[in-house]
Amino acid sequence: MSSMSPELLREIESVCAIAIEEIVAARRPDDLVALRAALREEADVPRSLRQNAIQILGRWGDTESAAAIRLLLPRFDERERINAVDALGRMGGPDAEAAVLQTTEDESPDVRRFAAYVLSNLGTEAARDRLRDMEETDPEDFVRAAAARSR
Amino acid sequence: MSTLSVKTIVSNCVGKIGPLSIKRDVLGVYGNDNPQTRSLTERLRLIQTAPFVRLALVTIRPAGSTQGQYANLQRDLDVANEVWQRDCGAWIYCVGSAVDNTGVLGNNVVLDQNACPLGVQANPTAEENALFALGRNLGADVVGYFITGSTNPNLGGCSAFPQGRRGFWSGFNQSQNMFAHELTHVIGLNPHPADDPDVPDNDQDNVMWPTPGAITNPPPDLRPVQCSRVQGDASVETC
Repeated sequence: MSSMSPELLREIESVCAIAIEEIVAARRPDDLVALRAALREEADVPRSLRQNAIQILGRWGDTESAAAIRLLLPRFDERERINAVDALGRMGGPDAEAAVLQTTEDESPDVRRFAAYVLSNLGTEAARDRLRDMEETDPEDFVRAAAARSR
Repeated sequence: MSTLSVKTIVSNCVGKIGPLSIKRDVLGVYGNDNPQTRSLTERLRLIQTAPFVRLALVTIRPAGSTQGQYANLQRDLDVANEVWQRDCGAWIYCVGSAVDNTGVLGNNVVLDQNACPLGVQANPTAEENALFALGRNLGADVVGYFITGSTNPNLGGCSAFPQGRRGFWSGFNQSQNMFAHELTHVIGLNPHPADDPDVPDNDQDNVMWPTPGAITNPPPDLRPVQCSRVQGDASVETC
């Protein structure tokens, strides 16, 4: 990840990321390459850096990263799956939609809460159908409420 | 020179009337997690002479939780007050601390967050709107929230707020400097050193360093230009 811009380097190491939108707006090709590299399964990067990369790629709307994130999902803990779901929802596309639909059945109700918000953003027919199902059948009150708010 | 009573000073300067708690209403102590000697005389001097900002605090818990306020609340408040008082001659008046256990952020108290810009959040999520509506009845324009975190697990705090609801959140178990860092983003709109033309990019002693847990030579610093922004903020008042 040596080719990233100084601005991205600062942001990707920060725990208070107030400049992500500027990074995304600049859309530097080298930054996109560096961010995608952090998603490779064999990439030797800290978990925190990979999560920041996923967040930024989500804001970037980089549809091509969705498949890589989907592959990484089984390795992630609850908080990381929430970040991944949010990013996938911003990316859109078939891989993102498939991954998000999968997470609507996650064992964590909070991951399902975020999946409900994301389904609304995806806006496809399958997403709308699944959101309706979640509103009616999810075992947790607050997940059903999130689905209802998202429709 | 006439001597004013504590009640008169507190009533005149911070508007607290009725029965007073010296601990809370005068000394601004809302937790027992950071015991230290606190001077009533010094606090009364501050109240009468130094610029201050009113701040309300809300700890978010899962639905039905019986846990109280954030365990390190007083520590964080004291660090922020130390930095502001020492470098800026300004202070933070905590008007109250509340706990919300209505389940506004699910079981894990993680916030569905949109962007985290400096200042107003242009497109807040439903959860951001719901969170930043809490605590508005406590007597301050600025509210600080203690939560688990937000969508990205690597973020420890954020100072973006919906229009008209100034505030910030700081994560549970973050560095003791995180709260002061986010508050100083909100009050004065102070950016990180790398984005501040008046602060050296490498000023790692500064409270606005982007990784507050890695600040060197504690307690953290604020430079005069940053203090000027704090003191010029619309929410800062004097007696």
